[in-house]
Amino acid sequence: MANIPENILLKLENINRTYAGAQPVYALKNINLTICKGEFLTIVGPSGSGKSTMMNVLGLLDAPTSGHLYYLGQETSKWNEKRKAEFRNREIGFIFQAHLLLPEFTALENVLMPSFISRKTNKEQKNRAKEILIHVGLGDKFYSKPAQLSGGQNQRVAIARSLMNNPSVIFADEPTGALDQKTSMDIYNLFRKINAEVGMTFIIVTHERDLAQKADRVIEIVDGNIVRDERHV
Amino acid sequence: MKFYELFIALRYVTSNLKQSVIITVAISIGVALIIWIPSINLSFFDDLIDKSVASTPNITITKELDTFKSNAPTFDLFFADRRLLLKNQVQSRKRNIKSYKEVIDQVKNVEQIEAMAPFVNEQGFVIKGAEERGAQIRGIIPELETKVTDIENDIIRGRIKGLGVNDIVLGITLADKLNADIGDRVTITGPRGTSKNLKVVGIFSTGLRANDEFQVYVALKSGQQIFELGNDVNSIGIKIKDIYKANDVAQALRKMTGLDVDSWMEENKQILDQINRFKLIIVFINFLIIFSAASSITSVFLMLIASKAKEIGILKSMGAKNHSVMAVFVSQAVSLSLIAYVIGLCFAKLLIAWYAGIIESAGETLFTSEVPEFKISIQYAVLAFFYSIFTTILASIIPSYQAAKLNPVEAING
Repeated sequence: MANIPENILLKLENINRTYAGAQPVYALKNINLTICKGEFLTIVGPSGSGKSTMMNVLGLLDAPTSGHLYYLGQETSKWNEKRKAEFRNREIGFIFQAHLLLPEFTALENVLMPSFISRKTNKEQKNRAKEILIHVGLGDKFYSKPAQLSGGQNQRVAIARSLMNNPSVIFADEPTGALDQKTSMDIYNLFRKINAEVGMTFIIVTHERDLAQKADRVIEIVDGNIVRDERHV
Repeated sequence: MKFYELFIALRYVTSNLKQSVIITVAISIGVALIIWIPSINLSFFDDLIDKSVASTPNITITKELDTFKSNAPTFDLFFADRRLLLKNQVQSRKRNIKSYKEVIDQVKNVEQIEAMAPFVNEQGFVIKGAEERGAQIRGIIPELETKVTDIENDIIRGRIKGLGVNDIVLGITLADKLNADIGDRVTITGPRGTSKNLKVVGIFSTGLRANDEFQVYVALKSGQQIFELGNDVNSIGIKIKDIYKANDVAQALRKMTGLDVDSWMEENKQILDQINRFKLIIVFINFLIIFSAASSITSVFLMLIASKAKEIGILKSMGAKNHSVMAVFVSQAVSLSLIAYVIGLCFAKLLIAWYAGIIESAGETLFTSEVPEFKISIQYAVLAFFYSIFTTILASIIPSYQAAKLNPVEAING
């Protein structure tokens, strides 16, 4: 265990991510970053700047080529796939641009999926899933399948799913990219509400400057480098 | 939920009906063929063996061949209608076992032997009116013969027990050809020309064409008179407990008595060899069926998994482990194979019933005059069960492994 203060959720030390090939792509270059528990931050940057790579590395979906990534004080580079999967299930929630729900399952089953994976589903968990769905405004859609819901409703189901196992951090990759302005604002307000109520850390990747500027902290990436780390609070 | 993999797998089965139906049909056709082809053939083989074994002794003790000259008419079973009269024709027959009672005493305690019956057995003619037919005439002691062969169960009219010196029992086909029935009189003639007029007291049907058309039974005394054997016999029939040990027992008896000993397995060697060759072909056909079904299942699963890449990615992002992703698809395959097995089994039963109908309408087969009882081979039904499970596991394991190894980032981004 590295000597990292308890309030630090994530610490990146000299993180590089290179995609090998005839023309190697340096997606992340020597990134150093610290993110505290309960932060609400956005990562912005033009297309191909490395922001999604950053999110995947932070979310343990992708491994850095070099450098150290600390999660809740633990260095993750030596973790095997099984340990990373367990950590993702317990501590991380993902929200993607396309909601990526499982189309064969109802909204309630989709929300319960992280708890199914942790093999801890019981009546209490089912009630919690229903409460979360009510909280995101889908109290009457428990048994609807994704095809029966609108884009905004599906994104709310995806948000509810990301909250199910009460993770430490939510990663949202362009969560409002496919939604209209009003729905986008509703989703943003929902994130804010959860962040304020539960103290859950939110890391949102977006190219929407308006949304980005509302965050407490904005990190801008260009060509794999952090060019701006700005705190609004 | 302890086994969420199965929960997802079953939902995939019901939600992706098209793929489920294709896989189920591929496996159930394989199951049906794996059960059907061996079942009808084994029914034929078993029936043939049962009938062959039941109507003759498992083991027969005889003496070496003796040759003699004769002016008697001769015939060949395959040209039974042609009766040739040849002068000084050299014929052969088994020598007499003069001390057959001593031989029976000598071998009666051999392990496996259940019953013994001495008899005389030679070719001759059965004549009724203008009809003359070649026949294998067997002179028996009915009380002993019925313990060695199933002839008593094969009697369809009349009787064989209490067979008197003036009685004869005919096979059904021979009786039809002679137009003879219970109470009619027929004349039999031995190879040396001795004749005897006998009354038909029984008619049997073994279902085996060779027996029903050529075999007749008379009392031992009558046989001895017709064949001019005095008080001797030329054969001792033996029934043993395990018919597949016939060769071993025959070998032991050969050593013990120094006489000629034939087992039913040696006498039916050609048929048994043919059956074994056919069983080999069945194994080969089954292999081809399994291979083709496995190929189609693999390709369907590869397509299925390609269409589910995003979902696999999202499951992995939520913490699903590689083995769980594999288990989802393997469970899906196994669930489908269980459904397919039940359908395939029913399909095999239908095919067997259909085939039995065709054979029944034909009325007879090459070797038998009765249609065998067609039933599902339990051995192959069990084999088909394991085939359906293992084929689907094997066929789905490579695509499932590919699914498990999918990089979640690449899968999500498509």
